[in-house]
Amino acid sequence: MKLNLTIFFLFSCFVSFGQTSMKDIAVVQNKTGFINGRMKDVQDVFLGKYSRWPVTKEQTTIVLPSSKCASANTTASVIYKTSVKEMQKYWLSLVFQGRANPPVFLDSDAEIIAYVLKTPGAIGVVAAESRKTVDNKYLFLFVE
Amino acid sequence: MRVCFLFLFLIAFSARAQKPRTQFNGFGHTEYFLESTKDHSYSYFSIGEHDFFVTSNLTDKISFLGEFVIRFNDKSATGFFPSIERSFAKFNYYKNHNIIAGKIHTPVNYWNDVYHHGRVFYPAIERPVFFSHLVPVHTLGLQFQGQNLGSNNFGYDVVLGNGIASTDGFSGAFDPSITAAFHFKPVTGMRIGASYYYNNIVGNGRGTHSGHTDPRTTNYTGPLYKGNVKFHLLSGSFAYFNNKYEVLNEFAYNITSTDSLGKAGNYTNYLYAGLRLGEKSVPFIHVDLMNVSDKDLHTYGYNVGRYAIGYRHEFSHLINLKTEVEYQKAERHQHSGSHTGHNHILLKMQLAYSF
Repeated sequence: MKLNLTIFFLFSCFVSFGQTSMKDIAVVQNKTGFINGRMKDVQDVFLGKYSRWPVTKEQTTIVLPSSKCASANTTASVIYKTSVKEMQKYWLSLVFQGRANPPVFLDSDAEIIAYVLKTPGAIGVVAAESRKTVDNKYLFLFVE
Repeated sequence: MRVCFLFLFLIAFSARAQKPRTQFNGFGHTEYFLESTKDHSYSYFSIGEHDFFVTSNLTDKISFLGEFVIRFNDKSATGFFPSIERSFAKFNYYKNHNIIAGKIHTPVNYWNDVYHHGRVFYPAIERPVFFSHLVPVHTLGLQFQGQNLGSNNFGYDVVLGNGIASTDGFSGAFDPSITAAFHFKPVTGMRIGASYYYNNIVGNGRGTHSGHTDPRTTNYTGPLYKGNVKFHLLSGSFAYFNNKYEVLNEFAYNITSTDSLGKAGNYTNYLYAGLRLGEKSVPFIHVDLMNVSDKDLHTYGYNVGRYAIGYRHEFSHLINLKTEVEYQKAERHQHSGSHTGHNHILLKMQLAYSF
């Protein structure tokens, strides 16, 4: 019985540890031409791979949750596979190198969505439940 | 000259009215040293460089980056000395390809390209020792840059700029430098790169911002060579930083050639290794070696070995505290053929921050 409980506990830990996935986030974009793709494609974008969108030629603007935002941990975990602190450090370093424009960090999902919708070329990430507040044409579609 | 006109032409015709998005950051550090040699002991605090950093999107395709540093200098009336470390306009002309005009960090290796004045990013307290002797840390000129190309995130940098003997305002000879570098990032957190730098240093001069320490400030007491020096620098770097391991290796081979003593071969290697324990703690070691040939007439014969063990505590991504114990052994070749040297044991602490 004790062994079964231990196994159940370890299994629960394993399941909960690997819980965050692309299903926990929604990617919002505006005139990027980047409307569907794999998780790897999304990670490339949020790691600063593009200065300019290949299709629309708009300048890329990355919009991310600040450490005050409720979805920050999920974004850092799912997209960057790290903590919020490391995600912020990554961008501070990239901007300091002169190799990327600074991203915009905002304090709530509502602010991220509002910023993206008014900024052509912007792309942001929010919690999955915020998806329902956004018109489908602004949502990126994940392909398995 | 034609390239400059082409650059200005492209900028003029790419300008689209846009409200500039400007961001300011600052970087600074404060240090403590406890040093012990055979004859002396020292203990002191030191205020480090304070760096004011600005980026601004001027148009849809043109951005500006400026980095202005104030550092301690006992020859200044105020005790501090200001300098423009970087100031350039970047024109994004096609996808991830850019033309950059202005003063840049010469993209010869990982440390110079990624960290430079940003002590809060440094994995250890100090730069590799060859930064003060072999690496031309700044160049004022024109840079062609590409990055994140293809699936392995290939990048290139080609720079045509002022040479080592020039200043930020003038060069007394036709002595341009050329830099060609490439890197790729096959996985997140990894960067592998190599570069070549060449400059014919007219009159063996040292400009204000080449990063080359005058050998007389590092215990060389003889006369300085006044002829031309052909300066070649080959560099290679490997960096891998992930949630668990941190590894950085920087290698450089420098050839200087003079009419007097012929070719001199200098080499250096810096190895850093850290192990991340949790989110905030990183114990690390580094080994830093430099060997400058006795035939070298630019840096002059100099052997340095630095061996350190340290610990970095990251309070947040904006502030960290590093502590190191370092053993340093240095030997300087003198003009007379004799050698002078010293052995040090140092305790160093550095509080590095961004604001």
